[in-house]
Amino acid sequence: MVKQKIKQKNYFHNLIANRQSFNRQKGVVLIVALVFLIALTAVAGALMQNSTSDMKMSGASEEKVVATQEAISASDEVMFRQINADSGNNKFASAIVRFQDESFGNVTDSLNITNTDSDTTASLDVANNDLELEADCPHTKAASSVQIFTCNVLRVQVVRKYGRKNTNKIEVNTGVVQQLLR
Amino acid sequence: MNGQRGYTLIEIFISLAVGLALFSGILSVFVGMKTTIKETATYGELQENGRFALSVLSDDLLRQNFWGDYSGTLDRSMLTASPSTAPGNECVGEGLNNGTFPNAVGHFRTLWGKTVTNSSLMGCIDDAKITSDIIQIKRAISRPLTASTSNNYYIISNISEAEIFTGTNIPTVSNSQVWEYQHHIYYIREEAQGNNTVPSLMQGRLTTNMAFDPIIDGIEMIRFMYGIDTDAPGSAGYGTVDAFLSADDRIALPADNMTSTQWDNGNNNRILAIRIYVLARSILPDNKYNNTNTYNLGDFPVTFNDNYRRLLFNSTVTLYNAGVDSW
Repeated sequence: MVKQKIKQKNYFHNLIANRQSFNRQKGVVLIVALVFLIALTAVAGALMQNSTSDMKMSGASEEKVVATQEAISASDEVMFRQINADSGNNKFASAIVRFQDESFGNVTDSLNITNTDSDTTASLDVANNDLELEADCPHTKAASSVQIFTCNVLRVQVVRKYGRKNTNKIEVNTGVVQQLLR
Repeated sequence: MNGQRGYTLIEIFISLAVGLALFSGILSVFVGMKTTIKETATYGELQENGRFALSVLSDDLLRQNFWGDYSGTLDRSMLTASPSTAPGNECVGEGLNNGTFPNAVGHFRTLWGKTVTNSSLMGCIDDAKITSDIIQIKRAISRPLTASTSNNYYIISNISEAEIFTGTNIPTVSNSQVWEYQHHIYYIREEAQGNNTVPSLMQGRLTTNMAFDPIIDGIEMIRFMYGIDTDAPGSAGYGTVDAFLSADDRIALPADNMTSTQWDNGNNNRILAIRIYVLARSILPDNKYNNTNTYNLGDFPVTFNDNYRRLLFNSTVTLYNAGVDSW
């Protein structure tokens, strides 16, 4: 019991000593420093915000340019794969009824160079053919006999998604006309 | 007197001196940072305007001479019908066949540009900034439509024929789609706002007449260099750009300028690419900054001596619809 009392006494003594030392403190260095710090932090924050938005801008436009180039290259790659496919597998020369099947026109899996992130899809479709008959060929500069050839008029469509959360997309449509001997 | 307490004179002077040194140091940092903020904000604005202008121009140029399903360049002989009257306030560029719609005679110029030497040109513009370029592009807007109105012109096309029309009655063309017909013109206009002159990028758009609107403020100059392929089909070097030429009559170097034949794709000339230069200028001058820089817009260096900040942008666009390779 006695021991505890002494301890309490000591404690009170310490408390009083502390309060005294607090009262003895003088000066406004801390407050002035804090005020300056706040002002400078605000300025630096504004500066950082500015630079961040600049960086976002250049990042976004870079991404767009890259996506556009990739989509165009993917379109070239689809054509290259079809033209150089094994005999009988060139879809450009397929009968146009086969394009009614949507999975036949899906050529995304042939993009094994440009589609590294699987954000690009490519499809092959008959462009605009009301009667689903092989169409006449477009005008040619070279002379030829009338109607020896008909043409498959196809469209290669490449869709490349980009941006944050892949919300933007670039669509490249390439018209391909494949001559077929009648 | 003996009971008085306080600081001695020396103490006060020392503390004042120290305080002053500290305060001036912090103040100078503060002022410096404020200037930096302003600079960063201005450069941000320049970057925003310049990038936007570059993206508008390159997106449009990328699709020049695009006519929906129709392959090849547009020609009156391939059109089954074309509006008999020209659009109101029609802009006609140089060349035999350079109006909004194709004429029967001459190569239809879907792409044409010029360095402005007289502020009124093309019969529809009277406020173009001299020394900057003007460019016109004809194309179809890239999304096919299902309905048409009488407020625009439309082109309906299949692979070998097309028809330009307006109104809600869509003509019959087999295996076709309908697209909006567009004629875009870009140039720079300067506008006085108080004591300050603000340049802005103007866009001309086709409704049923040509209408002009400022689209981006703070674009001081645009300039284009046209990438020409001069090789005949089948010969070595066909399909690659041989030279980048400007459309500037003022420079006494005729070899460096686009000729009328080149605009008309004559003698196996084709325009395969375009280099775009965009010079963005801050809207307000900064009196603490003196700009004596030289900016090289392709073959044309421009030197300034004023208080505006500037940023030069440049990009090269491949013209994918420059022509069909075979057929």
